[in-house]
Amino acid sequence: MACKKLILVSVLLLFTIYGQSQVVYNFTDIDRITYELFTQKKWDSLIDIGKKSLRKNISFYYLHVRMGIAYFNKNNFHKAIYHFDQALKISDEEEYVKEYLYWSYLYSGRTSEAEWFSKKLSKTFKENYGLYNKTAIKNIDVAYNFTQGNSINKISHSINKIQNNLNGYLFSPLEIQSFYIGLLTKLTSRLSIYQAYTNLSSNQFLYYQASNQNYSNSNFNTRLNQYYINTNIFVSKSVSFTGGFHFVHSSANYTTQLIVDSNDTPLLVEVPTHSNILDIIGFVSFYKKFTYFTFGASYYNAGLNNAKQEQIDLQLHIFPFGNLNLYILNNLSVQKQDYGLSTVRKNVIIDENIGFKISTNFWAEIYGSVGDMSNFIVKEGVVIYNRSDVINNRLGTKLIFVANPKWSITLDFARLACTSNFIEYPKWNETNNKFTYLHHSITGILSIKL
Amino acid sequence: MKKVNIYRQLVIPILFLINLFPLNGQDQVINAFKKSYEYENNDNYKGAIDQLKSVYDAESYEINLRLGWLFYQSGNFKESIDYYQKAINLKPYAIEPKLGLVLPYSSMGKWDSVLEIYQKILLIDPNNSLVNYRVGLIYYNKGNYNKAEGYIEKVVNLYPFDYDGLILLGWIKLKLQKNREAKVLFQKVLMNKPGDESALEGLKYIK
Repeated sequence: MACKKLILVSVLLLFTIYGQSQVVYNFTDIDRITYELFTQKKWDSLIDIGKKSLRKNISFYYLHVRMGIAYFNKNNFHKAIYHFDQALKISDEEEYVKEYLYWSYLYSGRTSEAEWFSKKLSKTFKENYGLYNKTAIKNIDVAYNFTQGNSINKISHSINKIQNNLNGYLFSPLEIQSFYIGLLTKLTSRLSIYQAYTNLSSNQFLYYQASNQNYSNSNFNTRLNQYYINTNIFVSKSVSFTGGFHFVHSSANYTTQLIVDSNDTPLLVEVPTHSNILDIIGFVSFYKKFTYFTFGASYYNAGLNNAKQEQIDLQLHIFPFGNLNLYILNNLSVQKQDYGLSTVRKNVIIDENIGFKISTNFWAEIYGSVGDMSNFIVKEGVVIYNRSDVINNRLGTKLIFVANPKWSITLDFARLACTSNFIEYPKWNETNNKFTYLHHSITGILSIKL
Repeated sequence: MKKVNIYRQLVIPILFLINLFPLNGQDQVINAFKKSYEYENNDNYKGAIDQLKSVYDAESYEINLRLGWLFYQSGNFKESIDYYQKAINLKPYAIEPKLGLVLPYSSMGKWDSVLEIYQKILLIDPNNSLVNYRVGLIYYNKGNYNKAEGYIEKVVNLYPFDYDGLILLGWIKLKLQKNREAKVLFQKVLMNKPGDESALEGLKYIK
């Protein structure tokens, strides 16, 4: 008897659970249920039922609106964008849906899309949020970098190991300082231009060795003036192209040079020289945004430091939560350098950057790169590693303070593992005479939105 | 010999046979409707639609109207609009199919189309309180309080103690900064429904 009762209770329980969990997937019931969940702000349940309804081909305007708002309230702005977009394809009459989409673009970091979409918003909204700003200049970035290199004693110690019968030269950076200012100018809702000027001063240790003579200069200074221009074309709400140039003018004064005379003998001569070199980098990039990730590809063509470079980058940016609380930026670079005289080198560099939100106003990023970075170009040509040595790997961390939507401060600390090579005549190849060391770099960036 | 009319001889058997095996098309339609309700009650909208399509007559207002409803229920708004429109074309002065056509448009968020339909209803029946209320509500949600005021005032004039009309008109008056009128309306709401949260909230905004 007790057994029969147990069976009956179990069966009744099963029916109760089964009955409660049974949602009939038709338009009327889903409309009613999702509306109820929406008014009760039960976002997780709404999303769950919404996803199941869509899998059963039940899709309608208010389902997408409610799911969009649910994802928005869960801070999953990527999914919110998808659903608001779907809703607006059916009807674009309700202002609040457009407003939600605008905020979703903005909070997910898709500022180009937010700016482009803002022209579809009402006049009242634009007035309330200052979107009528006619200023063409949208952003100003100011940055300062200091990189501390090796001590002269350490370099001298390494140089002493170079055999006296070798002929060649070695450059090793001691200290690098740079000042940077960048401006973002909006020309139309789809076209913007970013321009930047960098003034860089590099203090290097210069060492020549030829025909049993040597020369060293621990105060060899190179000044670089750089102009960068990048045009960004916003093709559609998920596709953009960029392209531009970076002009690098370097100048240096030196008195001693290593030359090769008519007998093919390398010699050190005193010839006061002021060198002026203009290097140019050209690049194009393509980006396609999806929900939760962005794919990018870049091509660079440069002539840096008497060599020719071609570099291809493939990028994958991942936003696991559909927002900027966590993001992972992956970059794979393949670089080919042609030094002339049939000397061609290929390098593969992998770069990883993980960013996460620490608190309301603070983000942190941890990044690292492995692979020989020599005349290496990053971030759409804004940053160039055209140092006289080679960076083998780097590890860094950034702290980003977003005081308010108008301005932010970034502090970037990096540790660079580098190698200086003694470049030997006659092949002008790198040799086994190399020494490795660590450099430390600190960069401060102030970004202001106008 | 008495002549027998052969045709008269055939009438009775024929009448008998007709009663035994009815060929009335209208009965088929009624049967289809009956089955469509049964399918609908079981949430089988496809089955319900198929029943009516088996007896479909483009000139039948009732079939087109019901198909409009069934397609709406099944979430197929495009078809719903088509059939409701056919019903409207068959009975252009009827309010019923127009109220039906509002359903798919409102589910699609196409409020401009909804307003257009309601305006057509009001041309036929200017004092239709349901439609006046809904038009006023749409304008209120769009932020067009001046337009909303006219429609809801009509509703309140027809039904001076109706909760929905009073509370909405109270909020409209408040948005238009007609605070004295808003206060009176919110107080009437409290007479209708003491402790009503919306009315109490409205009164908080009035100094």
